[in-house]
Amino acid sequence: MFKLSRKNLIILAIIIAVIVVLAVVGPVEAWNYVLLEPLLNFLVLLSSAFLGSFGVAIIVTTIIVRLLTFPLTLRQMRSTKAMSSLAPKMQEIQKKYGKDQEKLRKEMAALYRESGVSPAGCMLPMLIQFPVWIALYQSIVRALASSPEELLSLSQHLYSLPLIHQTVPLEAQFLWLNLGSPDRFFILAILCGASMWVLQKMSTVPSADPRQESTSRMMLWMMPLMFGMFTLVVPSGLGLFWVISNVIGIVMQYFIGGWGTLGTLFNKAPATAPAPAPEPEKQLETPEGAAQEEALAAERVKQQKRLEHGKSRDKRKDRRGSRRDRSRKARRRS
Amino acid sequence: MTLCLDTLSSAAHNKAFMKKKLSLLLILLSAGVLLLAGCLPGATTGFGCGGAPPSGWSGPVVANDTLYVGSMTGRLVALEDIFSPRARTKWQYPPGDEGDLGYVYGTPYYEDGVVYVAAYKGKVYALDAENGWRMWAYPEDGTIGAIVGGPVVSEGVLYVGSSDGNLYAVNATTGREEWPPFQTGEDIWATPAVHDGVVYIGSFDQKLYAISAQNGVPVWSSPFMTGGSIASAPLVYNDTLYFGSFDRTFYALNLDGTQKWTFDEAGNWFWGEPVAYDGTVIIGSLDGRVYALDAETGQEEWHYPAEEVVGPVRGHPAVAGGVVVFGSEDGTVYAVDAATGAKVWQRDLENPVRAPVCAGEDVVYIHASNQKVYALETEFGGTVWSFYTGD
Repeated sequence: MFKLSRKNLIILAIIIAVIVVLAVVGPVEAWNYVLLEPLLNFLVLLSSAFLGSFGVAIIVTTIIVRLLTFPLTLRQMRSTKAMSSLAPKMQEIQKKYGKDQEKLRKEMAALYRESGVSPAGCMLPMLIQFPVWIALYQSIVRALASSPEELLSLSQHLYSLPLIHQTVPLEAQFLWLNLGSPDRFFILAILCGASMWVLQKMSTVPSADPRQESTSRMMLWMMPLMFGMFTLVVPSGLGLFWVISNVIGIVMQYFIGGWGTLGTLFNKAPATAPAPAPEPEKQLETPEGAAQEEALAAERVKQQKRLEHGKSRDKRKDRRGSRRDRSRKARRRS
Repeated sequence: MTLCLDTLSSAAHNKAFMKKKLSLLLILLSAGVLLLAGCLPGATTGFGCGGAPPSGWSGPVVANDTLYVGSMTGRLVALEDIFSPRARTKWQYPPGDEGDLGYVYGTPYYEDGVVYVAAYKGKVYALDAENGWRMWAYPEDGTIGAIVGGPVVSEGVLYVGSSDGNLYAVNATTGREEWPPFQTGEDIWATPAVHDGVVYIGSFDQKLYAISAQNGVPVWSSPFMTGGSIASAPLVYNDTLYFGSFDRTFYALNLDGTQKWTFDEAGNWFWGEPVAYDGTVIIGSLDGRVYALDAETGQEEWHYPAEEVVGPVRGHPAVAGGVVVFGSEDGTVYAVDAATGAKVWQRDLENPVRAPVCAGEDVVYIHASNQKVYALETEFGGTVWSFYTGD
């Protein structure tokens, strides 16, 4: 049932606002006004600030966007880490209730509830970031406007600031790159694939679950290869953006989680799944120790009661459900 | 994104949950790939990264009952019987399967039985106007930078600007360089104008240059500086030089390079070439309006439309029988009274018109982006004929 909590009301208000804007203005115009044009004009202004260098403008914009979305990225990273730490308990529950899907689902739900982790905790940050990245891709390519038709189109998306009109068309040359064309030396494709691989390696948490481990291994190679190949065909301005974004991701990941499994490459120690939480040590019989023991025991009792309350609520739901089924069957027979 | 996929895969026990979340993820990924595909060269998706894919916007030119136009498939097409309802191909270059010129943006130039065309691939061709045989190409080997403007011939010399920032002067008969290329600071996308032995050309370095046609030496002590790139071909009318710039300003200069007046009421760039008629200079702007300015004072006489805007007007208008005809990015051709700006007629071609309009006797010729050339009668805009120039 939909609860009118403050969070849900805010989400509902945002959804309604988005629907109204799309209905009035149209999806393409809404996209242009809200995301594309602000980013595009910002890129052009930055180019002007950096003596017309669009390459530097791309780098600076990438850094700014990554910093602004850092709270969301951090949330994603924490969600992943928390999920991985639950892996041993999840395995236990799977062994115990593997054959009873219904029971398994309930036990897992209870586990997520107790630990305050949601497997979908990464979805909302990603849903918010995704349109921003796409708008940034489009802005970079539009701003370059390498053909007359593209320059004509660009003219319709620029704000009426003299500084912007003075800066266009932008200088496409940056280092060895023509930002409007793919890198013909393939250096950018290699940098993109390699930096993505390093980032993946650092951020993947090993798992005891063989299925998850196999998925992680596949992702470790698939994504860098895919983006490396994209970089071969898209304008190198985009490739530059991806490389810088990966490098920033590597720096962020290092400060949050260290080298991760990448460190094992250098230490040559096998990466292991996170060990189950150790049993609390028995305290010596001191007054402070006794008080601590009591507090721990009280906490365990509370957790047990929550678990039982959850189970009994599920039982009541089941009973109601089966009563409804019986009365439906009776009506059909009559 | 990969962190999220890792997290979701660890919830693999819950099939219903996985189905829902992974479907949403797959939808997002597919949308991302589609949008990214819009960033590939030639992409035409509505959400795509760039504008329309490159195709060229050559205007038609009429000489000796033949119409010449650069097609969007990279050929120069000559049409005959253009004054009858059944215009047909006279010849095209290159013929058959012999490759193509690449995109053609500049309007071909006709002089003394030769038609000249400049190609985006970076070459200029001189062709026999009667049969399309190639007389010469410049450069013979290799290419210069991409050419967006058109060539101009005066006193036996062809002038053309290129994206390598150079103005070239080439003998119109032999195709050999007359003088070393004149270098500007940035790309040249404009068509040059020649008047009294001086070549006027604008550049993306925001300057207008006056170069001696004799030897390629600057005539002015310093080029004229504007606030934006110049892609507009200049017009010389009554000893005054007129041109527009990307700084949304239209300039009138004396022939010595000093400013006479400016007009800065437009909402967007000036790209096309102005046209002069009866003491009035008429210019289209990418803000979706055509402006008529007093040639002497720069005072605005009218603009069309008066209240709203049409699509961007990139190509230059033509004046025929007191009527100004221009095409717009919204796919419509408009005809307005040259004296008052009142609408005379409009024709919806349903395809953007970026090419300049060519005026004949009682007929105007329009090259639309659907690769068709239309002959419309000036009085009511009725179609005399239309011809598909594609392959």
